[in-house]
Amino acid sequence: MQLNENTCVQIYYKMILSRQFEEMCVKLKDRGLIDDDLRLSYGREGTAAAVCALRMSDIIFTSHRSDTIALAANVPPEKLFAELFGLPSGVCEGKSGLLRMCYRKNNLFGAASDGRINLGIAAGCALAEKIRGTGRFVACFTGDGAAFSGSFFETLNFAVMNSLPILFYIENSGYSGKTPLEEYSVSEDICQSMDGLGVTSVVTDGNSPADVYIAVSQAIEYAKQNSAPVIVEARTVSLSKDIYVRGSDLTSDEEIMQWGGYDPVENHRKYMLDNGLVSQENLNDLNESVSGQIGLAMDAVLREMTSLRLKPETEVSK
Amino acid sequence: MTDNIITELRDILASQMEKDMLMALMGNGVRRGSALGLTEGLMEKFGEDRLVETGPGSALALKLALGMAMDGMHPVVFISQNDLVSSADIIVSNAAMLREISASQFSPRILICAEYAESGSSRTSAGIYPENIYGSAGNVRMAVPASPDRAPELLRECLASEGVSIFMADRSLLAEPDGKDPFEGTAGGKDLTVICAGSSLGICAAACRRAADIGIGCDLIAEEDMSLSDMPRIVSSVSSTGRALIVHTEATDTVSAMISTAIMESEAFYYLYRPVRRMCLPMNVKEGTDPRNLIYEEILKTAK
Repeated sequence: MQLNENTCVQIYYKMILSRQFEEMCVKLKDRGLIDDDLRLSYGREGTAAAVCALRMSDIIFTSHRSDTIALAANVPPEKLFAELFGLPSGVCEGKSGLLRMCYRKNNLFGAASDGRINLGIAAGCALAEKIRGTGRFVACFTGDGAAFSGSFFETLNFAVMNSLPILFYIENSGYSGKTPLEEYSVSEDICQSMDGLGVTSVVTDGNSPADVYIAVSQAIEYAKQNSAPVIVEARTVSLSKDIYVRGSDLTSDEEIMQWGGYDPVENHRKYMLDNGLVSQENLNDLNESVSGQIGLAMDAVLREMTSLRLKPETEVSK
Repeated sequence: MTDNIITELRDILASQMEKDMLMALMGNGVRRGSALGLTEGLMEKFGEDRLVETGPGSALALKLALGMAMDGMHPVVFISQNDLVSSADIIVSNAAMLREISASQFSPRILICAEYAESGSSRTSAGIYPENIYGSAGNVRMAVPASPDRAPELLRECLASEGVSIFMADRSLLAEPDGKDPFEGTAGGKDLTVICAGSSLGICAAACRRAADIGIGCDLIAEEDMSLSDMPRIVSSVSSTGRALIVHTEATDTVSAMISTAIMESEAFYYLYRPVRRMCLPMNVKEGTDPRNLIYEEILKTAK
């Protein structure tokens, strides 16, 4: 399967939108403008390719690193910034924050308070879609921590028993929170550990967006044709220090430097250039366009904050 | 609750399922009768799609129900009391919070049906009762019928409710023979008002009947939905008896504290012959100890 130019550019656009969005978030955090911890997808933008393989009408349950998924599902960045600041124009009117945000308009059903709970909730949604015969496909994004929990086993068992077409996309970063995989699991292979249930699964390179897109597209097709759950395990790394908290030292700088070679954005840029799908000039233009979009999104949020601050003064002056 | 009440409750569920095509029943053994036998015979009528077997994991059943409700369906989940206290709270919390944090993009409507399985002297959960967890939880409606006759109406109300509802029935009442009123001699007494909430209802009724045998008339009132909706009746009763005993199931039972405070702040305060007495059923009843005796002893002390 070969990706066409449009698909490749779309994936690249969404990945750099996510990266620039997160870089802005880090700046805001460094300046003390955001109180909450950030769950960054920095280095895991390959997930955007998985979202691109879905239809707009399909239902998405997100992981707690939700901004990449939301942006890939065409949620405007200004609505995410606004949510981050707790503003009324946010995706959840500022009541949720980014961790658990949802946006029904784009079929983004969000995340539960615990990634393990989300697995069963997503399966319930797939069951409802099956009962009602509405034909929307359900995809659940999660991490390796949740995938090694008992919840994943019971959910998959139910999905197989009830012939539910559903995709579980697992970002396997090798860490659950701050704990390396080898310290909490006898196996580092999620797909293999679920073999007993007879679930079809595929391991892909999460840092190669083209591979992710192809794997997810084929998995969705299989799930629909066979009315069965599928797992796509995307091996990836976090280029950020996992949860962005000031002073966090989960990984050493050397480790991050080493991971730099796995950068999915850079990998995809090379893929497109090597296959003659796009010129460097076009990519530069795209980068500038995304920078402008992020700038405009921040301007919109600042305007809203300003207007909200002015409102009480206006009322007092009356 | 007699077999006739069970049939009536089952008919209510079936009738609602006929009207509401988005309603589905789920839980362990739901296709074979489930808790209280409420789903018996419904499988033949509505089929596998609307009676979803979820296996023994009640937590999974609740997660699935939340997903179905997010997608617009109206699931009714049958789980055990133990699961309601051990594995359900985080999922119920998620369901209850969702409307708020999603700014009403999602308003999941879920009914959880459970039965009290440990009234009387048999106890299994170290005194942690569902009403202690959910009784004062925001966005969760908890309904415990104060008498078998009230069960059908409460179930109908729960089925019509938005958000998360928990309907619980007391198994000890099932043991009453057909035609016998398990609350006979427990209402309208002039000596003492006994107020209970949730799972202590059955044993309180037994203790009140025993008190009646020695001439102490109790007026037993059950808080059905843990929201002080019975306060007018409680105030009226305490104003008449001048004595109040509140029986609850855990030292931290906020419902009983609220009831006590509400009595103090009401006109009933001026009629009290003695302070309101609160009694907590012990967390671990010693083997061979019947909690009905403990309540009976408190009734004697309060009625003096």
